[in-house]
Amino acid sequence: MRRVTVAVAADPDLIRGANHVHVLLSKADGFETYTVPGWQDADGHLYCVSSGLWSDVQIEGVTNPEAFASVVAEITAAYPDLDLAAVAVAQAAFRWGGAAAPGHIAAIIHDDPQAALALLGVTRAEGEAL
Amino acid sequence: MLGVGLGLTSIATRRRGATLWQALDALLSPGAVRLEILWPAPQFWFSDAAGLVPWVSGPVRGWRSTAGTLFSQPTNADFAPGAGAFRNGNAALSLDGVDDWLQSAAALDLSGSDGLVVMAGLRRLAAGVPRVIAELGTSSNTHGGWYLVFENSDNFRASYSGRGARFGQAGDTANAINLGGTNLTTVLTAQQALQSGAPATIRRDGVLAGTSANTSFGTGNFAAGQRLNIGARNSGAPGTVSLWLHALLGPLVIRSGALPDAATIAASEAIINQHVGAY
Repeated sequence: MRRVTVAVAADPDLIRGANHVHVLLSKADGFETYTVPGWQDADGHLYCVSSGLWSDVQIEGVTNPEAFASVVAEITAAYPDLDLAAVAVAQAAFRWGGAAAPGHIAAIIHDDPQAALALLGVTRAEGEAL
Repeated sequence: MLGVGLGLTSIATRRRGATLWQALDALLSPGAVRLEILWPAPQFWFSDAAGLVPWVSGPVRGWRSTAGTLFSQPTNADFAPGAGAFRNGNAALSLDGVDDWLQSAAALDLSGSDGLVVMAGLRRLAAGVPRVIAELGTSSNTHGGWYLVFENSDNFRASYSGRGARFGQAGDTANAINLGGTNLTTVLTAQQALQSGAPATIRRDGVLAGTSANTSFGTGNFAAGQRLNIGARNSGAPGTVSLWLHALLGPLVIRSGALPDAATIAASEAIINQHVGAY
């Protein structure tokens, strides 16, 4: 498995689509992977960010709907609210490599999550206090 | 350099043929009302949040204490830590500082005693913002809760929330406990008996690091109905998780009951250090 760090531009359709992709990839049990856009780029554009370990099948499947064609029926049976149209919106906006950008879902494959965040060009939008 | 305590512990451990966590359990069990030892090893890890599928590789979604209590990432594989290793090669839980955290599968009832010891061996990989190592409850204001945190770039803090005992605040002798450096391997211990009239204490790498100025903690014991969060604060609703820890997390101990004596604490720290290699 490889670490994938993802920045989803703070667009409601992209956030919704990305949440549905995570369920389709069997990474999430619900549609709440991305909620509050707590990250920003140098220009102040906001993003939701995740970082986790992905299998080769998941890495391929995030941009290739055919990779999951054989299990879509099974997953949609388990998750009746799974919206394949929303998935398609996210897949169309997905980019491997490069910085986060408005209108896109950018992803970096890198073992070090902090290095991946630097490549994405995002930092926490607000300071956190105890 | 190995201290005398560590040497004796190593010898005792080998003589009994016990693993390190078994030796730690034997040390801390006497007098404990509740003892949770989260030992970083594949035998205690699971690939599912229910703690049923033994972990082989990938995200660690479940971590059972040696007592069998389940701590898990309840919703998302991306929010689950991975496996890592300390510089000495021993296993650690790797938290990415982005979205990883675990939570006890049920409330961790610590109401059976007013005494609490929390011990953690870890290697911090990022600093600069507050980061939660472990926290009972949903925030620093949870009555009867507590937390163990890196306060900012250099400081370490333990707090018994809702009891007014905090370290690192003005007036505390332990104000600004400087850990120094980002990539830091350390063994931390916080202990307090709420109704004893004695100050809370914190130790780092087997040495007393500070005592609280506050000795008035009110009445009552620690909370009964709160979950324990590991690696982040979870305020209880989607989108309200924060203060993610970026670290290699080693043994984590939560022990309620009358406080152990100083020799027991030192020997326990030495066992944890034997795993993480801090000092």
